[in-house]
Amino acid sequence: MTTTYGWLVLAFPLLGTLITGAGFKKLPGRSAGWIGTAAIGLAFLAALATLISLQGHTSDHRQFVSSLWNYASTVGIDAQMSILVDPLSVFMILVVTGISTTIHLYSVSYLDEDKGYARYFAYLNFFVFSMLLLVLAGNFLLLIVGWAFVGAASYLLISFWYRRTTATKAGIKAFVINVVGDVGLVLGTYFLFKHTGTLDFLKAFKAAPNVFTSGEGDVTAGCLLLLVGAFAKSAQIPLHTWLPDAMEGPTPVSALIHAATMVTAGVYLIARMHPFFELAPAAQDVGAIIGCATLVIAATIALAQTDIKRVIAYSTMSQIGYMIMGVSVGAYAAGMFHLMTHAFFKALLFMGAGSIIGAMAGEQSLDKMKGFKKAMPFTFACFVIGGLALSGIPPFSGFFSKDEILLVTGERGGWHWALYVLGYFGAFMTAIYTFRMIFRAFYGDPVQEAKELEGGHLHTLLSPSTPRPARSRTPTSASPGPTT
Amino acid sequence: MSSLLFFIAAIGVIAGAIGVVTLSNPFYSVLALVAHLLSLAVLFLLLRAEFVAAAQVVVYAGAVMVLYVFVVAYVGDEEQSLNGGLTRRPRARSADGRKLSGAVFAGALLVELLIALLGSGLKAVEGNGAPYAPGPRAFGTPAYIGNLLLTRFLLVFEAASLLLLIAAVGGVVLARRRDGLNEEEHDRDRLTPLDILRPHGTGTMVEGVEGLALAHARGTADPEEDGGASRAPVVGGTQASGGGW
Amino acid sequence: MSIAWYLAVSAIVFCTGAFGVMVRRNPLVVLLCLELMLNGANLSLIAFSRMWGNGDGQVLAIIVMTVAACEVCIGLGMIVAIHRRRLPIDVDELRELQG
Repeated sequence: MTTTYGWLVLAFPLLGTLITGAGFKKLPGRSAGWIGTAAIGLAFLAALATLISLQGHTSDHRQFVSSLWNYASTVGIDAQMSILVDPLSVFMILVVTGISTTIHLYSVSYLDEDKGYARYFAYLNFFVFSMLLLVLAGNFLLLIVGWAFVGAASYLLISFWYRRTTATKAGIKAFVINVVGDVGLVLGTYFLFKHTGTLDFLKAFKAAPNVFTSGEGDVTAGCLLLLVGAFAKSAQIPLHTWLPDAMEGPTPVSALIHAATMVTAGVYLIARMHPFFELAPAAQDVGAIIGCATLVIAATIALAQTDIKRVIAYSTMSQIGYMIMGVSVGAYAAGMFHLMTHAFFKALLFMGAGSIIGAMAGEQSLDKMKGFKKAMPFTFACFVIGGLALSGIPPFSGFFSKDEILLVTGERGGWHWALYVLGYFGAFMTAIYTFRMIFRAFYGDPVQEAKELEGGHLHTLLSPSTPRPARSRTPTSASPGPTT
Repeated sequence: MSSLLFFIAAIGVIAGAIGVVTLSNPFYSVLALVAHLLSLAVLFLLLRAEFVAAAQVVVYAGAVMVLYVFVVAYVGDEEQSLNGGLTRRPRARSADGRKLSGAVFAGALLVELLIALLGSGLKAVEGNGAPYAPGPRAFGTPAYIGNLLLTRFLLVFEAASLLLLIAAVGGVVLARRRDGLNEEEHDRDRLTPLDILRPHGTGTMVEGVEGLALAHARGTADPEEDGGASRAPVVGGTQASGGGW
Repeated sequence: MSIAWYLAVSAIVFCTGAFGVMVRRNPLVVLLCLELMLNGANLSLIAFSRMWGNGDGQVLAIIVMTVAACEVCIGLGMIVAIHRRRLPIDVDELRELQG
């Protein structure tokens, strides 16, 4: 029964995609939005059912595999379409479907009046389906399929407003770097498959200590190549350049894909492959060092950004550095916990940023935003809560997860103390750039748009004497964007 | 005897491949590929893959290449030699660096593949292959392939047929005549998959050729529901109607 | 002939196709070179199928041919559409497809 719920979790977003995709011109008004949201909502309920059905099992008996079709069993390769439902994947599907439901709901009105409305929800549902396929995959084959689909969905959504050259260029950049990661993932799978002889996760994990000795060449090479895949997907140094440009997509897309779900796929990969990583300490060290380097470098870059979405994008990169560092040093629970808390507060920050960008009629530069505190108190509260969580202030969620990661890193001893110190330094910088963004956007003398909003929606627009400020517009839901 | 045939066919294969890459006229490249495909079919025959060889000649060389010939005749009249620029337009940027790096990359790939395939550790690829039992359903016959396609590879077979359907529909959609960025009319005339479920008019040839608007004007179609917005039928309506994407 | 010979031919064809994809500028010829790469892979599949003695490689080779036909259909359709819009038929110029 558990795996039936697992298949339902996959089936609902797929149905949502097909329905919104097939009816993209016929669905009236916002119904595409409601269908998409309902599909993910049902997937969330199925995920909850999976969680509940896992209760009551002892810790050895919590892994369920279900295979739908024997795709190819030949010459020693067992490729089945199977899903694995165990606590790690249930954790991930709950996070993905939970955040996705809220972001779909947000998008229903954010992208209102956009000509590509149904197309957007079809793509977004396809993305959620691919991400769920990735985390529910029971063997390397479906993992690679989900991995590739997620990259494709990311490309489709980043270049959603496809008549903007910057958006298409950013989409291509993201896709090309993701494909580099795909190569790493597939080659890493080959190295591991060469010795374990099976593509299935549970069988491979069981065979791992028997076929590999710790520190052997092939398992280290395999894990390093898997890390290449993880770094490309999670925007770590040196494969990080696509993430800031990915902010060309609509803000809910940035919230979902580039904060909460897709970029965490690399963290999930390392956590899932932990039996192999435990046998390759060199790969673990590389992961920890790159994670630490990314968190410091991205935090320093975020200090100097003026585009509000880019500040949050570099912040994402930095926090994922924490997660990668955490799962690389063996703090699997802490790293995944930070994944969950980060998903929530980062999505909150992105959606708040979308609110402010809408108020500024598409202007995203922090230089031009001031004094919105009185005009948008709810958005301000959201930003403050998200900012406190991001900075790791107790009793907000970010504190517990970040602290746990740093604790385990410090306890590893040896040269890991350097990572521990840099992690604290990074947390310090996180607080600085987060509140820099909040103070710049919300405090100070209100700008024209803020004054208009304070008196109620667009009240001064009705008086002909008020001059409209001339600004370059980035396309939002209101402006005539590209056609579907 | 089979060695001799192998060498002849292999030389044909490689010569055809080099011809595709180096010949400047795209039409000659297509012909080189046809020669390559026929030689490859001979190699397949040597490997006891009779059905695949026949499929190669009939489908690949016979259908796909004919499609290519049509499109090259319609489009590809810009010659480009591997050494110099186009004969019709001055060369935009230097291609020499790319040619060299392409050759280096392909050479490195070839060396790596040959090491992987022929290196000393691989005893598995030595030998002439597994023995087979001749008969009506022997290895390589159509009955054998058909049996496999319908039992073990059923999902793959069905997925490939679905892919063919999608490609056929996609090919028709891509090569339709369009009028450019005239968006308002296009929104009305845009086709969606749900159009299949809704019968418009009676599906006459007039509708098929001229679209529902003109057919409506002649009184042969049903009146539309909302103020005259017309929708082109699912098939046809591509040549004369201006409806587009 | 041992299977290794067929695999060597397959490797040569594949690399020739790869070289062609990188170097040629006419998208039609790029697609032809892509077909070369697919044929190289097909030959290797058939060779391995002969080596193992089961027909899986042959079935997969047929599916590869099917996929190649689909891809050619779509690729040529795109080139025809590009030609109709009077855009240059040159992969170096066609870097962004908009609309």
